[in-house]
Parts: sequence; C-alpha cells; structure tokens
Amino acid sequence: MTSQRLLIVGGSYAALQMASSAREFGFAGEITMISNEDHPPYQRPPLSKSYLSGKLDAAGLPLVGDSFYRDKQIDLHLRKEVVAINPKRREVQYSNGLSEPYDWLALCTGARPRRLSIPGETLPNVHYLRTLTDAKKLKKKLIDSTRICVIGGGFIGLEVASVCRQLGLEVTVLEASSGILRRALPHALGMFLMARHKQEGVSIRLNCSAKEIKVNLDGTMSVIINNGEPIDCDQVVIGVGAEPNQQLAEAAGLRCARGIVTDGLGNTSVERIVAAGDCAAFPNPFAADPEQPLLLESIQATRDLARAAASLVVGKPEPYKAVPWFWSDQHDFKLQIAGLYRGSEKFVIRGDVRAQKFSLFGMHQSRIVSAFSINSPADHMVARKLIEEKISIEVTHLEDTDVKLKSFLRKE
Amino acid sequence: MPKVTFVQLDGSSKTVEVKAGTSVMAAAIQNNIPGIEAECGGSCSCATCHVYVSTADLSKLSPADELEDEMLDCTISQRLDGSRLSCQLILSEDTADLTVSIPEAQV
Repeated sequence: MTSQRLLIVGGSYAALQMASSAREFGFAGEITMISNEDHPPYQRPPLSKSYLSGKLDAAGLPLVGDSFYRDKQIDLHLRKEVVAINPKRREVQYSNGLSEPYDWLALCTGARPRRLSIPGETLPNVHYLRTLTDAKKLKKKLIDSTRICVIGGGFIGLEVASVCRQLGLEVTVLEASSGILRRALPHALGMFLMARHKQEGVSIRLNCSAKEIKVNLDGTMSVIINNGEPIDCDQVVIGVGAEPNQQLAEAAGLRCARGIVTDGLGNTSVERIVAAGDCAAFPNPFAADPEQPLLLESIQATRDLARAAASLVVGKPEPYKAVPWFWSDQHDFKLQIAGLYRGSEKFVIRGDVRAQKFSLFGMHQSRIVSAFSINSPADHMVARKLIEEKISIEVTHLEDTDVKLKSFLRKE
Repeated sequence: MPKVTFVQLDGSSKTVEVKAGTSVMAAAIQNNIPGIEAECGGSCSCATCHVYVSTADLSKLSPADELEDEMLDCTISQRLDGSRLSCQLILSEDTADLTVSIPEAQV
C-alpha cells in the first residue's frame, strides 16, 4: 500500500485527538494538521477560568509538549486557512491558491462565538471569548477595569463573571431569558446557582437584553438595556452561545444541520471525510432520541468522537458509545454534569443543598439519565456509570445518603 | 528546579525538571509522558491523572482535600495509599525529587 495522507483541518482538541489517536491505532501514513490559529493546540476551558484569573499561566495551556508533533510525525501548520474542499478530486484548496490531496480528510473546524448584532458590538472594549488571543486581550484589559458587563447568562458568561468578582470587579450579567443556564440545567439548579452568584456579589438581571453599547464622553462605556436603562462599565464580554464552523462542509455538499452531520464514527455524508469536535453533530446512544444528531460542544464529546473517527481511518472502527459529561467552575463550586438533560422527566435530590454539596438526578421512569452535581465529584463519577449501565433505582433509595451510590452499580 | 520521576508499568522511568509551581500533571503533559490522560486539563474534574506517589515522598505533599479524596474513590485503577490526582500535586523546592508511578489505566 502506498503512503496514505490524513489531512486534518483544525487546530484544537478534535484535531489533536484525531492525529494522536490515528498514530496510537497504528496509522503509518502522513498526518498534516492545518490550523488557522496563532498557537499550537491548547486548553480552552481555562481561558474563562484559571487562565483569566491568573492561577494558570500561558505556559500551562498547550495540550502537548512541543516535541510531541516531531515524535509522532504530525506536520502542524499554523495560521493557514483551507478555503475549499473538492471531494471528487480528494483535494483541499488553501487561501494562497495551492491545493493538496488527501486520502482521508478530518474536519475539526470547531465553532465561533455567536455574534450579537447590536450597535457598538465591535467597539474596542467589547470582547468575545474563544481563543487564547481573545483571552490574553481580555485579561490585560481587566487589570485597569473596575466594572464589567457580561451579556449572556451561559457557561462562558458566568465563569467570566466569577473570575471578575475574584479579581474585585463590579459585575453585572444580563440574561435575555427568565433564568441562567436554561438550556443546560434543570430550572431549580439554575435558581440555586443564581442565588450563589448573588451571594458572591454578581448582579444578575433576568429578562434583560442589550440593545446598544455606547462609549461615554469620559471613556467609560454603557450597555443600554431593553427598558432604556444604561449599565455603566469599562469592559463588555459577550457570551451568547456558539455557531459551528460548517461553511467549508456546506460548500462541499456535506450534509449539515446545526453542525456537520456524522454517524457515531464521525462519517460525514461524503466518502473519506470525517468530522469531530464542536463543528460535528452526531447521534448519542444516551439521548432521548438516539437517532437525532446532537451538537454537544464538550471536551468529552470531542475527544470520544475524534477517537472513533481515527479508528475508522485505520480500518478498525469502534463507534462512539460514551455517556456525555461536562464541568464548570464558578466561584467556589464545581458543577459536573453527566448524561443529557433532555429526556429527564423528574429530578431527585441527593445530598445537602444548604451545605452546597448535592446532586440532582434526572430520571426517566426508574432509570437515571442525567446527573447534576455540586461539589460532589464522587456522585458525578458513579452517575456516569449508572447512566451507562441503565440501572433502575427506587427514588427513596437514591435520596438516602446512607446508601452508597456505588452500591447500585452492577457487581462485576 | 524541582524534579519529578515518572515510573511506567514496565519499570522504565523518565525524570523531568520543571519550574516550581507546575503540577505533576502539567509536567507529564509538557514532557509527553504516556499514561496521564488529564481529560479535564487539571481542574480536579475527571480522575484521569491518577498516580501512585512513592511512600517515601508522600509526606512532602499536602494531603488531598475533600474533593480530591472523593475523586480518588472513583479512579479506574485501584486506590492505594500513595494514590493522588497529579493535577493537585504542585511541585516546589520542598517536593524536591518526587517519584510517582503510572497506574495500569485511567479510563
């Protein structure tokens, strides 16, 4: 067999996982990674947490050491853009007009922040947070700032709000809907987190949307909200969700929904093209509808689908089968999520809410299908297994903390 | 600079030198030491950076906090006396030459 070329478009978790898993599974051909970023693959979660707070410096961000690419013979190109795919000729085209052939193409193009199209959105002290370059800029600006306005009560917004309180800034969060983290969390837990943020001094304004961002004569800024009231601040951070980067795939005729649609092996609708990461929507065996392609936007989903896609590329296909999980750090609490919220019919509380150490278990009939843990990592770890093994539990047993959660697992 | 030695299952080992303030996990990642997954990147959320600290070195480290202790109950490889999550072990002049062993599996 002649040497095969695996060409990876992207330079973050999915791209790196694709490359390293392909090598791990025995791929002996060429691996080329084309990234449009300024830095080799790095951790994104700390950008809104420990990196922004200063606890972790930039040296701690790279996902692997520099020698990794050499040792594994991964040809990494930075600041390079793929502008088109020609699936018939199995070629990609770069912005400089040159083309390159592939045997396998992996689209790991990620996502971009959803833009809020209001007047003033492009002003200098208005930030979106996705890349290390974005985070560096924001971090620098925070040094001389005293007030920040965060638009969007999602994970990014609330994590930034937490860090800014730790740094001593006045923080206002504007959320357009009637609760924070509504897409991700049960209502009761959203209310709990909101109360915690308030205790920490974050002002959260619900049912409040930003209409305009203005620069005042003294150089400060104001975010004008729907009732006309100005929220005065020095910096604005917008965190209103992400959009999958699927333009390349769409233009090449790949099936897309919200995300590039793949199966559990990362297969797209076009032969020899796989996708993984925040750009890929794929069916999840633990979802209420296991056929529906979902865009999970998590490290876990990214890693596990990229591994599955790499297994396909080397001819030893092992489909995705993991229980989804996710985490967030805000103030002094750790939130961990296992399973998928949708499909949970009722919720059972286990633990001590006042002590801020508890989990909410989402049930479908008598099975646990999701778990939301606050400062309870053991609950989270065991819940992942309980969901995976589809174990039935009586609600009264689940509520009883004298019964160890582990005891519900099947004995091996 | 503090040093840390990683001992693999087959007995082979590698010693690396890192800046004070680096975690054992980060030292492993920066030096491409196999067997430390660190899926969550070092925020004590996943229990995939489990290591066994040598008995002689245990006293050099501050003990595991409550969250780490709970996570250690959930590692894939067996929890032993020396079990720690390497993301929580910060290297300093006090930890000097630390030796840790990599467990059989992380996930």
